[in-house]
Amino acid sequence: MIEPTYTIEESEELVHPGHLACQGCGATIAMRYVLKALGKKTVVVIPACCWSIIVGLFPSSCLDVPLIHTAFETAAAAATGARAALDVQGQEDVNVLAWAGDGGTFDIGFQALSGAAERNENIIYCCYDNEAYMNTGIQRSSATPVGAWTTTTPQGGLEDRPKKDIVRIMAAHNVPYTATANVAFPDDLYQKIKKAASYKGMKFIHILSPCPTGWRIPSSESIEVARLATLSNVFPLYEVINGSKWRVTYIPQKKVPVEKYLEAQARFRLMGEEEKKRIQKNVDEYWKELLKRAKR
Amino acid sequence: MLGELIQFHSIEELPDSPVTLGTTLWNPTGTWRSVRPVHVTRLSPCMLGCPAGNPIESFIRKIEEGDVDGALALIREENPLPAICGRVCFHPCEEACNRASMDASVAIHELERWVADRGKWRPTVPEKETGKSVAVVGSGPAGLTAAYHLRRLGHAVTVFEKEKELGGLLRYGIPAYRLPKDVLDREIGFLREMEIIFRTETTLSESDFEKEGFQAVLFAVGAQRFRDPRLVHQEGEGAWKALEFLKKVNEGEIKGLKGKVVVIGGGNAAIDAARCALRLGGQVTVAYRRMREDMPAFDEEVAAAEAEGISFVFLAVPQSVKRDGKGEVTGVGFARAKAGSLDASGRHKITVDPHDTFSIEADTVILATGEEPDEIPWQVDYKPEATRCETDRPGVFVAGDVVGSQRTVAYAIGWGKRAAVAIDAFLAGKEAELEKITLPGGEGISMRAYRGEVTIPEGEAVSFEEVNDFYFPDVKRAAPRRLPMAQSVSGFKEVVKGLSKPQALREAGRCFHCGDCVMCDNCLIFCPDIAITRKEDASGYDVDLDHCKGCGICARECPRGAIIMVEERV
Repeated sequence: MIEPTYTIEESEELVHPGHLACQGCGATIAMRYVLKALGKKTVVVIPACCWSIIVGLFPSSCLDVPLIHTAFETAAAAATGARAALDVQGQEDVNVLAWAGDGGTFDIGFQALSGAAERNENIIYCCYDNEAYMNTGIQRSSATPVGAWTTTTPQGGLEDRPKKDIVRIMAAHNVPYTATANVAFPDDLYQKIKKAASYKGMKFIHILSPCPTGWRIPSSESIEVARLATLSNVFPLYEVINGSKWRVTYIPQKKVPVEKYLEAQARFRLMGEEEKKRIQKNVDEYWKELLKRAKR
Repeated sequence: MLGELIQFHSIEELPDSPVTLGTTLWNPTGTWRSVRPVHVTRLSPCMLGCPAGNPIESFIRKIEEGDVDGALALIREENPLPAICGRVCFHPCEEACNRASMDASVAIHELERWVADRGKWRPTVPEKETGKSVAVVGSGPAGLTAAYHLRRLGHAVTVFEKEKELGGLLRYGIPAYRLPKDVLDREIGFLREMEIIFRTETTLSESDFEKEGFQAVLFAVGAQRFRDPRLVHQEGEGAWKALEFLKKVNEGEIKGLKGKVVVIGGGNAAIDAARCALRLGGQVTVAYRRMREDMPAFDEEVAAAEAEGISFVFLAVPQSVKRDGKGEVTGVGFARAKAGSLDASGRHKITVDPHDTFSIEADTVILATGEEPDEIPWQVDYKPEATRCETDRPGVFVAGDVVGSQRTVAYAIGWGKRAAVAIDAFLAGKEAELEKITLPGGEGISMRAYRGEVTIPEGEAVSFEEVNDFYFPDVKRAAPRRLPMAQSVSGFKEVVKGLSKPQALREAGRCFHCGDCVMCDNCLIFCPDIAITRKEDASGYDVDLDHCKGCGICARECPRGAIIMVEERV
């Protein structure tokens, strides 16, 4: 009778209240379910990003697992080091989680990430993507979608380049597991992290994490808007195994026009009708191609 | 709950390397909040739609929990006739149902019927007798309901019925293909087991009332008085008054009808008479003075009549019954009407041209032009729609069709409940506080609230906008099994056969449970501040107000509007 029925297992919360995330932060929900899936035997590596603030001020941390703060461009490299150190100690059952924002993944940390993927390091790399440098004040990143307002897109103009397709890039490294996830679908996220942990080698999970501050939405609508991203196929949920086997994990039952997702957020308010139509066309084409690749 | 803040008072107290020494629990992020979430129980719109005050949302939840008997017990706290309501009610609850705005409303009446047919329930006699004695005149739905609730409140109850058998309109008005007589008998049987005394073929005179020591009397005598259309040649063989016709059919005294039958009228009695006439072998036409959409009959009934092959003629104003030299009926004469604008009741105004006439051939005519309230045999006066059921004489009460203008079984049950409360309060020498037990914005009252077992939720019912429809996938509304058409129209067997068990369970699963937390965990799952926890006894959730930042995600993601955000006051 309970709807929806979640498969997330009952386990201890590894994220404590009192953290410093803004109201309605999606990245916090993402961390909750990733850690629930990985369990207490996990080391987290966090480069400069929202989460280096969220976690709390020295000497307190909101996480119940060991955490290494590291420099912006070094999440994957530091995680590689942590993995090597654990392996030397014979602690191969401990998960290493690199936890970076879109700036630290798409832009600044990209070479370290690509290197770790190429070497097939045995780590889980999660990018919680809020589509701009939100912590420092909503500056554009290469994850910022076309048509969005940021504080560093030239005045009067909007982001004119499409979002970097990070999952395809990572899948092209032929790593064991790559996937997208969305905080509005916590069950899907949880299952993907469980699955990722079962592979040895590099795992990359791209998690859409709404930012009420930067997306210009009420904090209460954070999940609602993130859900619309998947329901409108703007952010499809899928996974790629060994860079070749594509599988879509969620097919929306009721198709939602992209317009509904865009209009729910004030960051897209300046976008014209023509632009919206063009985005719809691109989204439809991408979705068709994805289904083809997943042989559906 | 807040944790301890770690502070360093000198450089020596600092650790050698910057490592974590404690959690962030010390940080009172609750101070950022301007609104707080509160888990609440709110009214669901279905319950406001039910004039009988059925506990709809909660009985459906019992079905989902697999507790059919519990579901039936809940309904019977409010309504003694669920097997009847589930069959004949026009289900205004389903019009109010929020799910109607998404795919189709929950088939509430089918679920009620399923529970009433399947569930086990045994009536009991009250633990404490009050020693007071009440007479109920009339054994229709209003009288039976009042008798049931008065008895449960501990009073001795005697029901007086002028006909041979009990049930009033339920027995003599509603045909068996809609309400089988054994269903009615079973429901009345329960009332007998509660030691309610029934006296048939009896009326209650004022002197007997005194002599037998009754302290109060309720007149629930109904509205069966024929509203005469005064047609030319209306009197005589071959022309029936609808309720008399239905009574004879229900008593089995009319075995067959030959030839053409014209039913005049557009209410439920007209459709009942028409469908009966069809079953008795007649070729039936219903003639109504206005349009199809103006018919007071339930739409489903009209549709069923059409499907069974009954013809309809609209904008036909009857003038005369045509008879031949031997006085036998040959047809009905009509004047044609024109539909104009809508009147205050939302129906078309008509203008009749007395020179534009036509006639329809008929061997039998049934006049179903409406009914008026019956006369109460005592010297009493009362106002129509007197919701407190009072008359100008203390201790004398009225309920049901005799006083109300909405003449349906569900309204009659609502009247019966109000009368029971009014009489109970009168016997205790108190004022009946009906307002306190009436669902706000609705018409039904709650007997459980009257007995102090539950409190009625305050505020408005949950609207569709407050339901998060993402969590409710499309599921087709259950269609009950039906008797094949050929069998339906050739006898009086019940046409609608109800839901199967899998159908009923699936249908119950379609309920949103508006305003009632079912512990789905959504609020807990989506809380970015890990501030919501389950209560240990699983009776709900606790909110950690030291840390809740008031983002409002929980209220937004609640599928059923059971969390509200309340402004913080400094």
